[in-house]
Amino acid sequence: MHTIFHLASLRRTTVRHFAEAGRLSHVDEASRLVSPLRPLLFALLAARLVRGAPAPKGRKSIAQGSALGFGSNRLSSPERATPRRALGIRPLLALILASLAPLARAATADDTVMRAMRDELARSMSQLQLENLEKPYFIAYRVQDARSQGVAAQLGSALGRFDGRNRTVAIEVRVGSPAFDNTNFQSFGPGGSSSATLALDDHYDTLRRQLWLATDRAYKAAAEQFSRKKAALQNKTRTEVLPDFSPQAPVTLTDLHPGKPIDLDRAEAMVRELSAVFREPPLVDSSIVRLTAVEETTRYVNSEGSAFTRTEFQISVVAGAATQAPDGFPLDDHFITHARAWDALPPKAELAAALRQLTRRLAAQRDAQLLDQYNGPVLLEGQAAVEIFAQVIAPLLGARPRPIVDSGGRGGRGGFGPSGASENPFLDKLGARVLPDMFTVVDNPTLTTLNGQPLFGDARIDDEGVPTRAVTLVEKGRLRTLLTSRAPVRGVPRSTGSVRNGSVVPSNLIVSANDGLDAAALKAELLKLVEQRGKDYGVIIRRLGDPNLRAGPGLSGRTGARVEPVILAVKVFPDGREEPLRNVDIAGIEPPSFKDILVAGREPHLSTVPFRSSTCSFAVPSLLFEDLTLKKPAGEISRPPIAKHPLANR
Amino acid sequence: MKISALFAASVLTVSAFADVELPKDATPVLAAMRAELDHSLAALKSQPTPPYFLSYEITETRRTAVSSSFGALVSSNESTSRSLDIDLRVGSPALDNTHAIRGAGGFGGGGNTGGGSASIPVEDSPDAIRSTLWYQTDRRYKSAVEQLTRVKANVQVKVEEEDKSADFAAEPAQSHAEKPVAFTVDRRALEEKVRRYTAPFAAHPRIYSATASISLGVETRWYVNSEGTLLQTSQPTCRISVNATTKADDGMDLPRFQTYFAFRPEQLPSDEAILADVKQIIADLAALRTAPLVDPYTGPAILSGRAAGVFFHEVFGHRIEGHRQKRAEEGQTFKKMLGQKLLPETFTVYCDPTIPKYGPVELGGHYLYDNQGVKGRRVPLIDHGVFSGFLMARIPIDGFPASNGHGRKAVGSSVVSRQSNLIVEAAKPISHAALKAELLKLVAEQKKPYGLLFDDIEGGFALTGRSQPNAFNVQPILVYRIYADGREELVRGADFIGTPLSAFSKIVAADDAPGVFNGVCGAESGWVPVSAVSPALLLSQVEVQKKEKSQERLPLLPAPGAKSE
Repeated sequence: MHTIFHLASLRRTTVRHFAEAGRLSHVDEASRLVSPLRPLLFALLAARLVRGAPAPKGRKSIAQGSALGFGSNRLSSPERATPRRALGIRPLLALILASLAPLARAATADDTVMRAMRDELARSMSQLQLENLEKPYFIAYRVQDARSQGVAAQLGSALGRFDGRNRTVAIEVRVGSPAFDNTNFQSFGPGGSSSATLALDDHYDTLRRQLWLATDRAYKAAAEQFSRKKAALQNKTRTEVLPDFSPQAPVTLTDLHPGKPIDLDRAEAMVRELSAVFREPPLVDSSIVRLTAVEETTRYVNSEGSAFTRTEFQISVVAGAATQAPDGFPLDDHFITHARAWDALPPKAELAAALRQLTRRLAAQRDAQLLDQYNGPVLLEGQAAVEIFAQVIAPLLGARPRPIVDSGGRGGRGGFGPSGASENPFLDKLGARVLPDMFTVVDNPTLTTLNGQPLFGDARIDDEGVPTRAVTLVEKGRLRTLLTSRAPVRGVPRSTGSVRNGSVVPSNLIVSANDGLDAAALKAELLKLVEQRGKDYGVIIRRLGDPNLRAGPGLSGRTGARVEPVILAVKVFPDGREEPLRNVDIAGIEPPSFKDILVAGREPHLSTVPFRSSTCSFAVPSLLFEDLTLKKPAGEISRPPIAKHPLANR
Repeated sequence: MKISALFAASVLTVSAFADVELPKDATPVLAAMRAELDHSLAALKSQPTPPYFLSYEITETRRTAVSSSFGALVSSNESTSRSLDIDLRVGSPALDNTHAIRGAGGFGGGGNTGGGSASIPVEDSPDAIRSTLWYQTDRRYKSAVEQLTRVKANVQVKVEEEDKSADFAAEPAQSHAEKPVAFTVDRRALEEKVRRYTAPFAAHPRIYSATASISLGVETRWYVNSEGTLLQTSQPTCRISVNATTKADDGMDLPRFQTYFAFRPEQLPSDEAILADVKQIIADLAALRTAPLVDPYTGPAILSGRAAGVFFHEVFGHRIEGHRQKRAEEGQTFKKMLGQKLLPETFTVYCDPTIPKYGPVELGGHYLYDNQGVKGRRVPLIDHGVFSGFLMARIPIDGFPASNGHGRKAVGSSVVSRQSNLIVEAAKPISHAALKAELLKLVAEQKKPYGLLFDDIEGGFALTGRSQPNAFNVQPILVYRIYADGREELVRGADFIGTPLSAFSKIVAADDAPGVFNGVCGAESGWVPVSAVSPALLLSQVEVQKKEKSQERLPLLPAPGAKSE
């Protein structure tokens, strides 16, 4: 099919035609323009969720349990700027004022945007109804303003920059009752949530108009979804009946931690200088340094009387480098750091030193040994312990109910099979042992530092307007509860306030162990096991790949591994001597493998990494596994580069 | 609707570069590309399957884009980036790694799928640029060698190909460098401008979307190949669009828009002119909402110049793209029709990327060199009614061994032959009034109650494959019934459909006021800017079907702040 279109009609029409063929190709001018910057944007997206620090100017006020209606005043701190009621009523005035407003103006608790949200929400709740169908019983608006800035460089040369803002709304409309509504249902066609792009200007009339149309779409979809869900259950008996929506007392909150926009020239100069480190020997095949700064302001209103405004700011610096071993096996490594302000970033010299270490570490890997196969005790230290916990256990600590699946009117199994998503196995483990007795796991969004180091998962309130709190997930090895949204799951009837960017995710996940040992004692413990088992050597894994921070192409056709490839590991001999290993895969590790951890470290290692589409901080001590299988990865290996690196002879 | 495979998409010697002079005004980017091409090729030469051709193309995009809705700013972005595309060929021009693999089905059937682009530094640092070129060349070389093995096996196991032409055509070296264009953009002023363009829509509660966008930018390209070609071109483009929709009471979505194109910002129309068009859009939408629904119809019709341009682009232009004549899955409508009469002998059709303007109107399909380092040139397609040629990239077909400068692509795709500025001219045009009189004559002859006038269109699409009807669809926005007494009545919901050869045979006359459509065209090598120019055409018979209609009803509540609230 070949097409010609005006640019203006490109998006709408192409989406329609390509969608008919089942190939949803979304092409518009903007996405084509930014496509060369996609890696940069990906990094921006990866850093989407940012938690604010308790900055001196941070204004917080919380009022829980006071049911406040729409448009009424809410508790807020006295220094809050008084909202201008007049702003936006006259479009012209709003236009002029909006154009004068600085880009980074902090959101106030009841500004023009919030007013437009409250007013349209109130109208929709009272008037929106299709004849013979139910009215909404719940509506929520979440408006998100993002200012994203980014720069990248390689080998001392800038790769491009990005500086943009957008404002979007996510609308949730529920029809029916909390016991049974249109949600937790999986079918073709739109559901009860809808999102739309909103005006960047604080322009009351335009915002209301955009909210009106998006709400209309969301309500129609919700009403239809509700009927389909009832139809799907007509001839079925549910084995497990849970309500669809848990109650929540109204909350109002203002939690602002705005950040200053970064000076892109300065940021570019910094990444340029940092990336020049990779010009020094030893040369690796490819490298990149990115810096992104994202400020996100979320405004939330729901029909239960909850409302909040939250501003978060985060800067991240990510570097990646990749090369190949002489036999062609791919090698890559990364560096990541976060800060809540430009001045809080590590000094440039410190960053440069970290990147030098990265490139030396990576180049040294080329000379390390391959390991055919190993079965025996393995010690995961520091970053490797964090990654294995984040990749194997953390995804199971959040739960959503399994949706009812539309049978499409054909009875029996629907188009998706019995269920689109398999149920979280930890739902059957509540009260049971999931880790050895020595372990306690707490998700604590109220902390901003741990042992003097900053955490980045903190938040006062989640994306569903639920105040966050510390939740003990595992106590003495027993699973006590799971992180949830307002959709109840078996055994967890209330939300833990854990929804961020559409997913149930941990905030600051802190794993601690009784009777932890220091590094030397752990190594001694490993060697004791080696001796007991009559093995020649044991293995310590020091760095493990992160699924969101891969820097190279990896091995094509790599299969059968649940976790990312190991970055750094050593053989440890009974005399304490270490020999570096490369290209190690941890084979067959499953959640129950963690029950065989013999002993853990005393101090947790802290690491902040992208998790789903959020940023989470993890604190995990080193972990000594009694028995793991390690082997070299299976897959197709590409030969090393044929021509020499163009900088090789300098 | 099944959409066809969209992606189914003399021995050259590698010359030594030592004796090639860099053109004047060349930037260090061109020198770095040349140096790395030499370095990588020298190393790859010693391999058992050495490359016989290598080219690098770096595309730099600097762009400022702003948009608004109902008077408020919706987006405002600035970006700068450079992307690298590599064409590396192993085997021989007769059979290389880009050869189409037959029977692969789906999107894999096109053979060379491009392999995407890579980001490359935006600064003119030779070391950083060369390092990316080196790394990507190595990766591309390895996948080319693998692909050649697959190609050779496929050729062995399949039946003999109908078109035995080679995979690649040699070209003489070109050398040309333009100074990169610089223009500064006042983003705040653009934001103000774009807000103004949609503010008037705010007073109309039944207009459900109203957006305007302004996009100003420069695309600078550097191209180097192993034949010795060295090119550096820099092309600014500016586009404005205004787009609004309403809905009829029966749910039908009714769009209306205007676009404006110029090479330089100062050549764009004034705010007054654009706001006058906005006023017209608002009036058109109000009229469309209450316009009667069209019934299926066959009979005479006039296509306005812009509508006729799109009609030719779809019905004819896509079918004479050279590479489609050798792919087994293509319909090849015109392949065997060279020298045959397709149109009345007063008609001439050609593609010409070398002209930046047609009359006073600038043409978006203008370029000096195509994406394979070949100089753009005028290609006669229909000469006095007789079909005379194809648009060629460096992909030979039977009887057409060479490129004619129409090898085009978007960043990240592989080149195929594409249109540039498609121009339809008539030797004996008549006035628009006379054309209308001719239409009414046909209406009377055919005993029809009325004729149709297609005044504006939003675009169209064509299916050129064999596995689905070999048809086109042009989507009109403003369609009028013209009654015998000359009265015009706006109707809505019409799609103009047909098959190419029968539609061509119905063209009978043209007027003397050519219309220009500046748009972007999407096909297997991505979205490229094109223009289509044509006078208004009278067709003795067209077929109109009812447009697919949205099933979404009107919003339940009135617009906020509307009087009815």
